[in-house]
Amino acid sequence: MTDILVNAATMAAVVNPNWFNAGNSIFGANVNRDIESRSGFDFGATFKKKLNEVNVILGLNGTYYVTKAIKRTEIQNEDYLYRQGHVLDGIWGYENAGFFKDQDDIKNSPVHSLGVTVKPGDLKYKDQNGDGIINVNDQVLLGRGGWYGAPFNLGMHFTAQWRKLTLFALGVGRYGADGVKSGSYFWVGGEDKYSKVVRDRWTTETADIATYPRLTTQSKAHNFVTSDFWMYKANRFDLAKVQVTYDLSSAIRKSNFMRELNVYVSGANLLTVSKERELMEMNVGGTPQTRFYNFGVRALF
Amino acid sequence: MNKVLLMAAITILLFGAGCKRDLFEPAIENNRQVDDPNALMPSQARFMYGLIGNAYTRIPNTGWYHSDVATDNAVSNDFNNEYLRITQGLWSPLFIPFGFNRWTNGYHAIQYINQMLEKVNEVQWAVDPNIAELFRRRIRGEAYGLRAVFYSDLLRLFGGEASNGQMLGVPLFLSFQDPLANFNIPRSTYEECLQQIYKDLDSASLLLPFDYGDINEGGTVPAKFGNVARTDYNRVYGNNFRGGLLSGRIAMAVKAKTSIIAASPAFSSGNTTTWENAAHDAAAILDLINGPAGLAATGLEWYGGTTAIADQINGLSVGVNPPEVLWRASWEDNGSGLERDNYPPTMFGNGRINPTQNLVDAFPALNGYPISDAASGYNPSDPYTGRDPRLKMFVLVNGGTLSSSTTAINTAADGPTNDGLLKQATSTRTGYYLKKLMHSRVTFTSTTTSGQRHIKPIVRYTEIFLNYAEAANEAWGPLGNGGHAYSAYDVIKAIRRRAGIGIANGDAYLELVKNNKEEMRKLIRNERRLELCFEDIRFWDLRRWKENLTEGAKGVSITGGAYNYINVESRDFQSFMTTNPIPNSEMLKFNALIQNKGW
Repeated sequence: MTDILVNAATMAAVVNPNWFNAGNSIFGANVNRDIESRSGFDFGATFKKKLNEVNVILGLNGTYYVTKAIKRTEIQNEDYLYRQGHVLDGIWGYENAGFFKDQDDIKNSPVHSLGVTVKPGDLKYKDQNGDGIINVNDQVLLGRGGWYGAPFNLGMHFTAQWRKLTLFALGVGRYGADGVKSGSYFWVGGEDKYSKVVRDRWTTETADIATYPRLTTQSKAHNFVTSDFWMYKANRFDLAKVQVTYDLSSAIRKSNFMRELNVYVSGANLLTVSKERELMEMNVGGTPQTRFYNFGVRALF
Repeated sequence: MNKVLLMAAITILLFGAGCKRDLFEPAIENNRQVDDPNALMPSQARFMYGLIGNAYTRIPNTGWYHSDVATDNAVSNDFNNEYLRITQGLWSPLFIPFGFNRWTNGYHAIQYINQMLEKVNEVQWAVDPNIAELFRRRIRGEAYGLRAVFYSDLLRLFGGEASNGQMLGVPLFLSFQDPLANFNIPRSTYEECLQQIYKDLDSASLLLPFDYGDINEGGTVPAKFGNVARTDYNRVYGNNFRGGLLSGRIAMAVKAKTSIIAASPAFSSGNTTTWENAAHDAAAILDLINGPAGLAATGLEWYGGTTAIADQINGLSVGVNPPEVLWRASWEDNGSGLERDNYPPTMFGNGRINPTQNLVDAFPALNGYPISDAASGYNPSDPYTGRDPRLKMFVLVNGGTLSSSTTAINTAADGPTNDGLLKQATSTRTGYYLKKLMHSRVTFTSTTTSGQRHIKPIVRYTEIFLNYAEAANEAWGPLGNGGHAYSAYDVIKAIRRRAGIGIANGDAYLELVKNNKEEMRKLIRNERRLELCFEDIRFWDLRRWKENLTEGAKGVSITGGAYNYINVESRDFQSFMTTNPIPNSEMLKFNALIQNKGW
């Protein structure tokens, strides 16, 4: 558990009267007030076995942890908006109920006032507090961002040695976090360039099969905000490294020049196993991710 | 062995560092704090005076609040305008366009003022103890006066009938509140707030000079200061301090502005201030300028609407006011913001504030009769001729001119330029543009701006005159004077004479209503509407009078020379919206606060 510093502006908004903070002048000081907890457990196990002529080592270790905002200096308009008692890496947003079918659908739905006049093909959100208006007060906890690491991390390594040949593999698994498909690739509005996701956009003809809201050259403030429409499970297993090594030391035994010699072939980031593999292997606007293949010689003199 | 020693040394160092508290205790901030004893030295007097400077910078109404666009006087062509949005049903405890900032700023200033009052006796304001005492007296007076200014504004904004049926004011904080204080205190009653404001104003009047300024050789120091040398007086209350510091005169004006609201129908049931009190408070100021005879001739276009008045403003010495202005904010040199906002498109403006047909219809005919009266000679097919001269002073009607330009502005729906009705986003929505507040010399071209000195009054004498007329009529009738040398009738006559109406016929209409209190009330309210339009007065007047808030804003569409009257914008106010809501963010925190009725 940690005490977290709450700044004077938050104190004015939550504990003291609002007038403590007049923008350019503020009464009160920063206070150690909030409490957060992060707890969990680690485990590790290694198995060694000799199967005939093959030495096998299998190692497994993992971390599972939970986070919680035990005490949070906050004031919210609805009970369910309070962050206190929830995870620290919560993703908060709207729950969607599909696309607006037509004007009648819009008319019979709560007023969506996120700064854009909605049209058919826009996302329809759930009115959590039943006040007939969709605004920031209708955001709920949708999932965990895993920004401080996924809730469950798994590491696996495997070594098999047969005579002079060694196979090594390392895998890393991350489970339990959620992601939001955001950024300029998925959230296209204004004068943004199109990515291929907009091919499945909503039009009156494709209303039943569309997987993307209607296109707009205007504000992104309605569709392109955090909602469960854009969420995905960020579970993944990565094959981080595979290496095959052949020991050539015996061939040079007689030389005083060299004591040990190995040749190897290795590969890094070879495989990602995930429902969202394509997304995870994609970088937008930066250098692409790489997959390494190495061929090497290791010599000791 | 050496290794062992080294390890031991490191261990001791680490252990020692761990024990030192200054790793965990924050260092004292490296800037001047008010509780630093050095801050009380004469050399730091300016720093300590800054506490109250923090209040001066927050005085409300030093800039324009264009709340008239949420009344029947005007609309805005800016659909993001917050006043416009409250006319369309968006007003709520979560959205108080003119309230939330003033709530936070007002109480923030009061907190500084209270701190000043607690420190004022400790500070050595000057090396000479006599001078220090004079400064102490002045600063105490300023603090009391300023506290009244802010509580008066808070009361005007947030006071009213609460959901428990009581007439409530605002929470009263009269001492510096540290962050651990109990803030969950209920709103004081309207009457308690009033009495606190009056008490602070009395303290201010007692302590402060009536006006700042040097006493010349041979003059005498006012008796209330006791035996003080003239030069000492001048050092503390002299010319150097002219320019907006709280004075006895300002304290009187604040009192007059507060008491007339308290006496009004919306609040009178919950307090002891009467129309008679309000009339006396206003008359106390007017007596000083000889009553109606002192009504400033330049008081109509005081904002520089004529070049003569503009010259007068340009020639002002620091801290001196034109005769119309009782209290003003610092002037703004080279200002052009108001004109940029409100000039019509062809003059490179954004046409923001559009006066309504409702307001235009409220201007009487030149002979003083309302246009609804057959005696007015009003001609619907030539509506702007033969009217009260103030109409064309304050409102740019079709064919009128603005500033130094001689080009007639065509606001007709079939007009050839973008000045026509609804031609583009910055065109008028009503067929009228704002002319009041527009400086006679500000001009724009596509590339240049010629700004001018602007003044912003916080209190004008005309407002005090109209306060008197209204309160005196209610208290003593149109012709009663309550012991003063003038009646409501006298004041209204002077105001109408200055406007230039009813000159030829001896203001026959006024003579007609002068024996009828109800008719006179209507006339006074109408004169007030005209004289004080676009000055953040009407919005509050409608509420304190409990008048109809929902009268829709109308405009005129001129096509082919024919006048068609159009509905421009509704006024979706509910009956309880005579008060502001208390900000929701405070309501959530402090359950002792009771919300105003209906919100």
